[in-house]
Amino acid sequence: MRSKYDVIVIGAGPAGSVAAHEAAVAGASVLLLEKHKRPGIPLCCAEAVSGPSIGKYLSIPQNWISTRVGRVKLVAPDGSAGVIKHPDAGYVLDRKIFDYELARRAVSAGCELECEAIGTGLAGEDGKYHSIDVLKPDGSGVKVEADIFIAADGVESKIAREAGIDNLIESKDIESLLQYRVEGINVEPDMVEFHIGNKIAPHGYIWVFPKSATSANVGLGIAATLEKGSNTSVRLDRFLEGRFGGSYKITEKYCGMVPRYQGVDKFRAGNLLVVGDAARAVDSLSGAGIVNAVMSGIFAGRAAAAFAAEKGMKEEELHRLYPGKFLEIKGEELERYARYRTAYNKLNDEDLNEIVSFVGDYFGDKTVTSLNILKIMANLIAKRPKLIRLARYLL
Amino acid sequence: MLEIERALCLECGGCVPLCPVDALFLSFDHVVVDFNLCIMCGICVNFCPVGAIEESDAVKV
Repeated sequence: MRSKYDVIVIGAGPAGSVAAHEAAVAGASVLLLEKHKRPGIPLCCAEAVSGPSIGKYLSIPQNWISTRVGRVKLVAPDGSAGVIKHPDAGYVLDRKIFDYELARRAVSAGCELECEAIGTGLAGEDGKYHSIDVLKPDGSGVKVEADIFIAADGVESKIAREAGIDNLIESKDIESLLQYRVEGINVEPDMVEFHIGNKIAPHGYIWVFPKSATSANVGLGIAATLEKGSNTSVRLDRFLEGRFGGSYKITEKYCGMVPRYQGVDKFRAGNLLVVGDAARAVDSLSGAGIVNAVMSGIFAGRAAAAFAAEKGMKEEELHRLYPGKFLEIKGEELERYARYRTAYNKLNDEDLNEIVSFVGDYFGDKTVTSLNILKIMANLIAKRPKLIRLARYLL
Repeated sequence: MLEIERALCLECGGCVPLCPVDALFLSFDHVVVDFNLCIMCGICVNFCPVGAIEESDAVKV
C-alpha cells in the first residue's frame, strides 16, 4: 500500500470492484479496500439478477451462474399462481465467485486490493476530502491520501455518514431478511418463485431461487414495524414445512437488511462518491440491488478517474458525471419503484389475489422477451378496477 | 445495555444504518456497540433477523 492514490474505493462488493475497475482502466491509480478476508463473503444476498439489465454492463461467464431463470412464478395468498415465461429473465448467481471475480478483474486492470482493511475517518472539510485511515485487524492504522473517494461500503455505509450524508433508515422502511440455503429438495431449476401474502410475509415476500435442481435460496423479508425481526425464522420454517414437507436440509443461513431508495442527495458529498447499497440505489419494491450497484459503480469509477486527471474540475461538472449520468438512466425507475413499494404495503390479501390472477390472465401461455412495467401497471389498473385507489402510485 | 451474541450474529451489518445515534459499527467480523452513544431505543434489537442483539440489565464490567 502506498501513501497516496488517485482514487480510494471502500468496499469490494460488486459496486466497489466495478468502480475500481473502471477508474483503473481509465488510467487512475486505485486502492480498493475490503473489510473481509476476501471479496464475496459473507453472503448477504438472494443472488438473483435480471439478465437483460446486467447484460448491458457486464458479460456474465457460465461459471458465475448457478442457474438460468426462464420462468417467474407468483403465488397468491389463496394458493393460485401466475407464471411469466421469459427465456432470458436472468440468473441466480454464485455471489462467492461473482464478487471475487469482479475484484480480480479490477486488480488485473491495475488496481491494488487490500483485504482485511477497514476504511474509516474520512478527513477533510467543505466537501474536500484528502485522506482516510486504513485499519487492520491487529489494530494498526495508516493514513492514506487520495484525490477522490468512492464509498461502496454497503448498507451500513459509515463513510457516507462521515461525510455528513444522512442515510439513516427510518423505522417504517426497516425490513428484516432471513435466508436459508436449502438442499435435498426438488425444484425446477429455471423457475424463481415469489410467494406473497400478509399471512406469510407481511409487507414482504418469500422467495425460492433455485441454485440447482435440488437446492435453493429460500428467504423472506418482513416489515419490522409489524413484528420482531427474529420472527423470520418461525415464518421461514413454517413455509419450508408446507412447501417441501419434512424432506429438506438447511445447510447455510444468511440475513440482512435491504435499503430503499432515498433520493439524489445520498449519492455524493463533495469528492466522495457513494455507490450501490451505500447510496440506497436499490429497487425498493423487490430489493434487487446488483444491477444498480454495477451501474452506479461504472459511472462513479469513470467520474473519479476524470476528476483525478483534471485538476480543478468544478463541483458541477463532477456532479454531472456522477451521480448525474447514472441517475439520468436510472433515477426515474428508482423513484417509481419506491412508489410501487408504498403501494405494495397498502395491499391486503384480496388485492394480492387479484394481482396474481391478473398476471395469470395477462401473460397466459405467452412467452415474453421483455417486460414493459409501465404498460403492465396500466393494464392492471384497467383490468382490476378494485385497485384503482393505487393508481397514483402505480401510474 | 446492549449485548451482541457473537455466536448468532451473521455479520450482515443490517443493524448499523438503523441506529439513530451511530452507536453501532461492523468491525472485521463482529458488530461493536459504543455504549457511550447507545440510547437503548431497541430498534436494532427489534430488527435483527437472527435475534443476535439483546437488551440486558447487566452492568457493563
